[in-house]
Amino acid sequence: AVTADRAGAAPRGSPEASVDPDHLYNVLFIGDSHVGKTSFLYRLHANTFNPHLTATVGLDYQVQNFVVDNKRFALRLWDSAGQERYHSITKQFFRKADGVVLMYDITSEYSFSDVRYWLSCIQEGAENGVPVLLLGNKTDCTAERQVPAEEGERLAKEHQLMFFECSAASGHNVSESMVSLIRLLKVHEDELKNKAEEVPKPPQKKKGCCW
Amino acid sequence: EYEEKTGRAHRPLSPKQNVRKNLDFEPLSTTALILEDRPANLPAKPAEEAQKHRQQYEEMVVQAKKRELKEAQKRKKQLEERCKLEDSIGNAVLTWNNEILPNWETMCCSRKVRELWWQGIPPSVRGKVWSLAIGNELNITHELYDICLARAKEKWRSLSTGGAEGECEDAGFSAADREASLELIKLDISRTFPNLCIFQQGGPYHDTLHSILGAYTCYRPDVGYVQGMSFIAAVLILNLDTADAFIAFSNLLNKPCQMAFFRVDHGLMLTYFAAFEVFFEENLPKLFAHFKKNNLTPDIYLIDWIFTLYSKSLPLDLACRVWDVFCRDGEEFLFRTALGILKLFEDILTKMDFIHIAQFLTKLPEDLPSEEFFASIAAIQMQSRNKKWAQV
Repeated sequence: AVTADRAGAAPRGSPEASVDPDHLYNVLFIGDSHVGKTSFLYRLHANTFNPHLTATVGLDYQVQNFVVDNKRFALRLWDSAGQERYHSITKQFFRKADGVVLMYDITSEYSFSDVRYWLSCIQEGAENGVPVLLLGNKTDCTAERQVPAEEGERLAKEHQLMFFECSAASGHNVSESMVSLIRLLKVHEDELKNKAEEVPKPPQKKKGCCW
Repeated sequence: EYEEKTGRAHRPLSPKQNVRKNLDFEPLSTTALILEDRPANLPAKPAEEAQKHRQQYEEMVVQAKKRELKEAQKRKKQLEERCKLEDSIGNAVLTWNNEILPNWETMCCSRKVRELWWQGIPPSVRGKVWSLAIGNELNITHELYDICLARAKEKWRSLSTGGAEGECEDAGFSAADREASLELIKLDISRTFPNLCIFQQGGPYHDTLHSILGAYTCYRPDVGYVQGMSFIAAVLILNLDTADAFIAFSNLLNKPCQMAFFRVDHGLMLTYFAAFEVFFEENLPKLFAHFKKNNLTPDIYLIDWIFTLYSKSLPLDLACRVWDVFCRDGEEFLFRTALGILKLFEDILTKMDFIHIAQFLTKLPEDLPSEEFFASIAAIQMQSRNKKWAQV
């Protein structure tokens, strides 16, 4: 019954949306080095692929506004460095995340097997039941694929994650996956609010944020 | 359209010589501006009107002439300033080469040298000065570099000939070794200053960067490769020969602040952040309060700045100048620079919320004005209640 306002899925830097969003979420991007986290965010922001991005050191930040189901959402996107050494830095930001995007590279089995490690980090550091989106990036590299889509799906089912394959290079499923994540975040927020209020109310539109 | 084009092309070709003749200086912008009589098939202008038009025309030409003279003067001044700048760089090079470098030990701390140093080290002597200032506490020789590099190359070979990760001889700890497995280095090299197009596959410095980082993981397996290092090595490569770059790189990373960060020693990093905040509050109390209110902790922007010594977040020429003074003043200057940046953008930052500040500070504007920037750094006092940086 819901249709994403696809045209307005990413009003790039449109000020009116940022002035007073209906909902505001912190989303942390994690996953091995070089799976494409920064490229994904770049695609989301500029709607092109930039092959000349530098390696992330520590954390990067980006704000992105969306209009989904006629509501305005502002996402604060936290882009983390993938290298293991930085995990102790990244970890302290898990707690602040309303949602997590866990990315692997479908052309790297290695990055996929590390997904379990990352899931344990989420379990350890993030709030219980935080919505997680599992993303298999680089679908444009079909010839080099090492991880079949079914494996990603199975893993997602096992851990109850939302799952997409996507390509920051081609743009495939980039805004689609984010729109789905936003809906999930909204549902999760409503659930939390209902729980907090104890008297369950119909999940009507509420103002506020999780920060 | 054709007519328009030819029309335009024609006019300058048939100038009214008699009008032009009395102008010794012909302003470029008025070459297309010609006083014409009415075409013969129309009644001629009344004398009064023709006179008025002539006057207006001459006024226009005079104005244009004035303007162009002014611009010419401006250009000349700019040229003079550039020549002066080039002269002063040339002089500085001479001073550095003939006076300072031969007497490094005695001169490096003199006031005159320190002042010249602040102006920025000329690129041609920069590498030498950095080398001397960083020093070689570790006593690394060119031979040691060759040995480390040979060992790294051996590892690469064993990796590429079918050995899975963690199969390296001295791998008792597979996770740590995975980082050092040199795989990551390979991926990161092409992501180091991608815009310069010299460290990428096939670029002139690709192998050099690869070698230095590989050799370092063999020299210091306990530290290994950490993201951010590739930027530091790259800046050194741009200013030094390979082996000297390696020596400077290893010694630079061996400094307490760099060690704390690259080994991700949380306790020490927090100490640095806390000390930074003391000076932040002292120098920019208003902005400090704004950051506090927004829960914006220094780790959010300092990590990137300190890890890469500003080489990723500042334009490269500015970053080199920061490195110049960092070599002179040590780690304190890194934090002073941070405060300088915050001061420079104080007005903008106070109007932003958490995420926009974070976004702004991790992607600083590319057209940072260098003089204002250094003036802003100079205005930062690294003294808090009579305590200096090292004491805090």
